[in-house]
Amino acid sequence: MAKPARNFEAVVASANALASGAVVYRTAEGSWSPHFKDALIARSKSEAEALLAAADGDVKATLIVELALIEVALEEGVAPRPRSLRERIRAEGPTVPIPQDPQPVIRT
Amino acid sequence: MYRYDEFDHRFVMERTKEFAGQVTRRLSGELSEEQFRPLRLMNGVYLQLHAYMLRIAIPYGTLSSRQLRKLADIARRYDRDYGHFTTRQNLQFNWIKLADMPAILAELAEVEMHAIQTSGNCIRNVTADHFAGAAADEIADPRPWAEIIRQWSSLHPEFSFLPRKFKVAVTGAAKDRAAIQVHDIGLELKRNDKGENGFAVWVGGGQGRTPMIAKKLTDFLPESDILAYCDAILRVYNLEGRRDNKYKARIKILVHEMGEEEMRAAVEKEFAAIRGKTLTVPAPEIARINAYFAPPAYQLCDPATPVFVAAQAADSQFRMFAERNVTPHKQPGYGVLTISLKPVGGPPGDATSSQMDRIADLAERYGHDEIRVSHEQNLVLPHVRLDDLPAIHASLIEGGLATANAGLITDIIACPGLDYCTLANARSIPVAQRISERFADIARQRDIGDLKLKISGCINACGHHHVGHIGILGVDRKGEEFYQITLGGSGDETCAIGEIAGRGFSSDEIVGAVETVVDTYLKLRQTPQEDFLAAYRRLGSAPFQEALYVA
Repeated sequence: MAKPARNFEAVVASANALASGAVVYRTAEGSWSPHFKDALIARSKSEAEALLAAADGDVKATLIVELALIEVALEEGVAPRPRSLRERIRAEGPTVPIPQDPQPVIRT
Repeated sequence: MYRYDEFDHRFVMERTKEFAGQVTRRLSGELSEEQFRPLRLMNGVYLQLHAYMLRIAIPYGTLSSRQLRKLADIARRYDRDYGHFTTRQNLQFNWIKLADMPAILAELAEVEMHAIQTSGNCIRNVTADHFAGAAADEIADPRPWAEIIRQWSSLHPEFSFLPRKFKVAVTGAAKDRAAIQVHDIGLELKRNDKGENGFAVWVGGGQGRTPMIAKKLTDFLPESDILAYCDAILRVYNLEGRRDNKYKARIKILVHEMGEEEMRAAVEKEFAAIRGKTLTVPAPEIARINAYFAPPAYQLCDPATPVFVAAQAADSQFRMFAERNVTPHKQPGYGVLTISLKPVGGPPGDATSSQMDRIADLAERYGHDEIRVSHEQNLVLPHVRLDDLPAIHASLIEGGLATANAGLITDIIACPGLDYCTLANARSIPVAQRISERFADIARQRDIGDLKLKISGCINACGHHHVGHIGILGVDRKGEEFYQITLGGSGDETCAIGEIAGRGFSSDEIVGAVETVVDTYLKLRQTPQEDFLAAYRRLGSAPFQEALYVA
C-alpha cells in the first residue's frame, strides 16, 4: 500500500474481474487488462491516490472485486515486476505447470 | 452406495436455485461483495489468487463412476481440464468463472453432488477411512454412520453458525487411516465383547496454528446414541466456544481451556438430557442405511489368484506396484487398489479429465463402480479382483497413473500453497515436486520404506504437516520463502504432533535438509524393518538435529 512520499514505492492497481475472477490491472486508459505490462504505474503518493479512487469506481460498478494497490519493483533496464512473490504469481500464473495428460507411450 | 432420498433431492435443488439467484444479483450489482461473500462461501465458492475456486463435497470420499465422469466433464468444459483432490476427500476446481457457477451446480445436482457445507462455520463434509467396507482389518463399515451423520448435519439449523468450522471423521478399523485424533470429533466404530457395535468418541483434535490431539471422551458409546452424543458436544461448543477470537474459536481450544474432565462432564450433562429421545437412531433406519452399503456382488474367483501370481513373477514393475499399492481385502481373491496421484515431479492430488475418465472406466469395468478419494490425495478402487490387476495396471500405465509409491516418501501430501491460495505464505507444490524428483529412484524409495511427508504452505496446515513423519511448513520471512521441518508427527492411532527440528531452511536448502533427515534415519535404523517413525521414536530428535544443524 502507499507509504509516505519519501519512501514511496511505485504501485499499480490490481483486482479480480467479478464475473470471471481473473486477475486484472488498471490501465492508463481506465480499462482493465489481464496483463501486468499494461498496468498504469503510479509513481507518487498523489498518483497512487488518484489511481485507487478511479479504480474504486469499478468496484461500485460491479466490474471488479478485491481491489488493491500492489508494489512494483522498478529497476533500470528491467521490465517492471510486482515486488512480492505473491503478486508475481498472480501476474504470471502458478509457478508449476498445469497438469497435462501423459504423452502416448511409443512402443518400438 | 447411498442414493439421495426425496429430502436430499429437494434441499440440493432448492439451494442450487437459490444460489443461482444470488449469483445473478451479485453480477447485476444488487448484492455487494460484502453481502455476497458469506453466501458464496456457504456454497463452496472461494476467490483465490487467479480465479474463483469451487470446492465440491465428496461425502466420506465415495464416488460412483458416473459422478467421477461428471467431475471430469466439468473440468473439461468449465475449468482447465483438471481437478485437485484435497486432504478433506473433496475436489477443488481452480479456474471457475462465477458466471458459470449456477450451471455447474445444476450439473452436479444431476449426479447427486453439491458444494454445500464445504466452507463456513458449520459441520463440514464428513470424512472416513478411504478403505471402508473393503479393508481386511476392518471391524465394521464406518460409511453408514458417516452417512447418518451427514444427514443429521446437513443444513442443521442449530449448527449452521458455529463459532468456527467443525470437522468429523469416522473409522471402522483399529488402524486409523482417517486421522480421527486430529478432528473436532473423531469416531472409531468398534465392537464390544458382547458383539455390540459402538463408538469411541474423540473430541478437540485439530491442526492449524494450535495443533492438538483429541481427548477420548468415551471409549464405548452404543451406536444408536451417536447423534445424541454428537449433538451434546455441539451444544456445549456452540454455547461455550469462543466467538471473540477467530484463532481461539475451534473446539480444540475449548477442550484445552476447560480440560478433559470438565468437557466430559458438560457433554454428559447435555447428553443425559437428550438421550433416548428423538435423536436415538432407530434400528430400522440403521438397517435401511446399512443396506445401501452392502458389500458388492463379489465375482467368483480362484483363491490362488493365478493371473496375479504369474504377472508378479513375469513383470517386476507390476510386482512392485502390487506390493505398494494393493492392500488386503476382506474378500478372498480381492484387493484394495490405491491409484497414486503423485507422479514424480507432478503436483500432488491433481488429475486431468481424461485420467478421471479412465479411472471411472476402470471402476465400472473392474471395481463394482466405486471410487474413493483418500485424505492422502490419492484415488482408491476399493474392490478389485487380484486377477484383474495386471489389466488395470496396463491401463494405468497408459494414463500416467501407475506410480508404485503408495506410502513411500514421494507419496507426498501438499496443499495448493502460494501457487493458488490466498492464505498461503509460501509455495508447497514446487517443494513437493523437487523432493519427489530427488527421491525418484524407486529402489531407493523402497529401501527407505514407509514414510509420510506432508507439506503446508501456511500455518493453517491443510497439508497436514503437523502429522507428517517429516512435516514441512512454508513461512514468509521478509519476503523470502522459508521452510520449517517438523519430525515424528503421525496421524494414525498412535497420533503425535511433529516436533520442530530447528531453524527453517531456504527454498534452495529444503530438499537437501529432507535428504539429510532421511540419510540419518538410514544410517541409524536397527533393521530395514524399523520404519522412519519407529526409529524417530526410539532415537528422539537429537541425532536428526545434529545432522541438520551441527554436522
